[in-house]
Amino acid sequence: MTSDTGRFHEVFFDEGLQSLDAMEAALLRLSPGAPDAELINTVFRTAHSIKGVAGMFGFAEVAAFTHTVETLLDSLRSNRLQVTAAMCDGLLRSVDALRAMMLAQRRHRPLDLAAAEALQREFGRMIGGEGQPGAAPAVLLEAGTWRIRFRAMPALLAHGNDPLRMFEDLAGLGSLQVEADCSSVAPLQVLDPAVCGIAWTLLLTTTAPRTAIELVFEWAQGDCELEFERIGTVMVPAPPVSARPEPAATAAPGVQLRAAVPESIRVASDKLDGLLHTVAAIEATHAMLVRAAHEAEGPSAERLRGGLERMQGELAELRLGMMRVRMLPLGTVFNGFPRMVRDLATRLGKQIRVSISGEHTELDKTVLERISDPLVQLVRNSVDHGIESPAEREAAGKPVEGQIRLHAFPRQDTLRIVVSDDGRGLDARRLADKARSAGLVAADAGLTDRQAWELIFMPGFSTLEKATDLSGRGVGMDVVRRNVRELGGSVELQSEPGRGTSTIISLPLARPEALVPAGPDVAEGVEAGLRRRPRLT
Amino acid sequence: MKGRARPAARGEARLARTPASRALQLPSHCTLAGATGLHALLAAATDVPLSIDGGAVEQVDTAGLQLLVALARRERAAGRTLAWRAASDELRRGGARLGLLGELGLEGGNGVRQ
Repeated sequence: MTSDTGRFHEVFFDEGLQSLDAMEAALLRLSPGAPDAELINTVFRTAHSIKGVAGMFGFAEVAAFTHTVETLLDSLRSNRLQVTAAMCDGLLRSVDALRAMMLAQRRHRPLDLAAAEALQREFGRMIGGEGQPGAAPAVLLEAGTWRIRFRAMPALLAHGNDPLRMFEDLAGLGSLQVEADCSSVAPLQVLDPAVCGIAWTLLLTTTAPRTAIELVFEWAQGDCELEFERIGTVMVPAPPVSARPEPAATAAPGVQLRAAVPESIRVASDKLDGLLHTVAAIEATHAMLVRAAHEAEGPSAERLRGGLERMQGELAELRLGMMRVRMLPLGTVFNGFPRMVRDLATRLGKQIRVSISGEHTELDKTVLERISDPLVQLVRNSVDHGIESPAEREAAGKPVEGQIRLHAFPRQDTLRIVVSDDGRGLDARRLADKARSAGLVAADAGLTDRQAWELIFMPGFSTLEKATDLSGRGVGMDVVRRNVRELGGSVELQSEPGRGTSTIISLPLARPEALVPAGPDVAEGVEAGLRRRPRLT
Repeated sequence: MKGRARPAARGEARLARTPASRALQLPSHCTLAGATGLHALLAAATDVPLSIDGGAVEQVDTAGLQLLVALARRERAAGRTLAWRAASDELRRGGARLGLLGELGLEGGNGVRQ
């Protein structure tokens, strides 16, 4: 795979995984009793798009499996089938299977197609026998045939552009036939080995768009003559999901390649860290120059000081801009919770709805990564301990369906993230009793409710007699608090018996000067006076 | 050439004279980097038919293959046929990808696979 092809693949994975998130979110809103036609259409369109782009990039297994999913969805939207709970569950599992396939492809790991094949059979039975065991529904995909005329200019080879490599890249896009015209090759005696005299006519059958083909020749621009002509269209069958992908047997009719004109670019975070180091080094040099300029005299000194002052503002803007580039929306973490809660609640026989707000709030990537696990722990606690069973809730006069809310909002210099539920709340007396019996507090110690709640942050403390695999091992809340404190934040509890519990995480809003990634100490070798900054990554 | 004592090193082409023809063992790397030496050697070998041993070729590029094309064309122009004693898979793959197997005389079963 060339780096250019790889770049396209990365775009496919990014957008494909995002599409799966959207598909999952829509499926979570799909009710067996009262199916929403527009919702089904949304899921169908998403699946269709994934299939098309997967086919276009040669991920035949993903394309073939998504086609099966799409076929089921088509039966639903045309009312040939009714939405059942089993279908909702199967469609959600198909999202899991597709996600696993994409991640395996992205990491160049072997595909485990067992789940996809089982679902394919399951969906086949639902559709009515179309999906017999081991057989995927036939998928016809469109491929274009291109005639490409390529003639090297004298400097092509000397500039490091080798037609052999280019043609290999082209062959990776589909089926390639090559015809060489050697009539212009100079006689051996006078041949300059660095000048290519061969001209080629290529016939490429591919589902890739012209932009992807042109990209192969991108580096040779100016060093070759190129002509493209689309001379035909053929329909090719996609292989079954378990078949090895053939580069040519993929297609994406009507799918636009957004990667051709990217609205954003992917940048490895270590490159950004490197730039932040550079900014820090420039700031250090700037500080040194400011001191030197302060002692300078003469007509130029004032101009120098003025220039350095402007530079200080510009550097601050540069640092702020760099920080913004590292920011990611909280939604990247929040949006995974509805599915997680659904699965956990199903196992526990509970009914729980998740609501999310403030998911567009942005956090530094590193902070986001480190806040993710604590949030998972808090949500799991709410599912496991907070929300009661439907029977308990009914008996308590509460709606059978419990609520978990994730909310993020800025407050002064902090970002607040609140995880709340409308469950049973913390039982302060029970917590205190357990602490006394465990010898964690004196037998006669009186504890306020808030003091009792704080007990759950003690390492090893658990209100459960027996740990479940969801939570209750007593290792959760202390880790939550420790992680948040490491980020300079705090965790606070609010609870009311019978009404629920809220956990409020406060994180300091990042300041431009608060961010210097780990790595070489940029202050080394620079004149003393550079303020050392805390490291966040 | 009777037997091969050792494969030609990277960039090194070797000629051995036999009564009726010259056998040329191609270097392991037939690429632009070593093309000047190979070119000089091929250009100098004009008097007798050449047979090529490309069994040890591990890497080719367009420049290297073009030299062999030029050699084959010169031999044809002189009324001779370029004979292949051996052609490695890499050599064949490169020739096929550039559509040059016919020009090189490597189509069909010509050239002994190594």
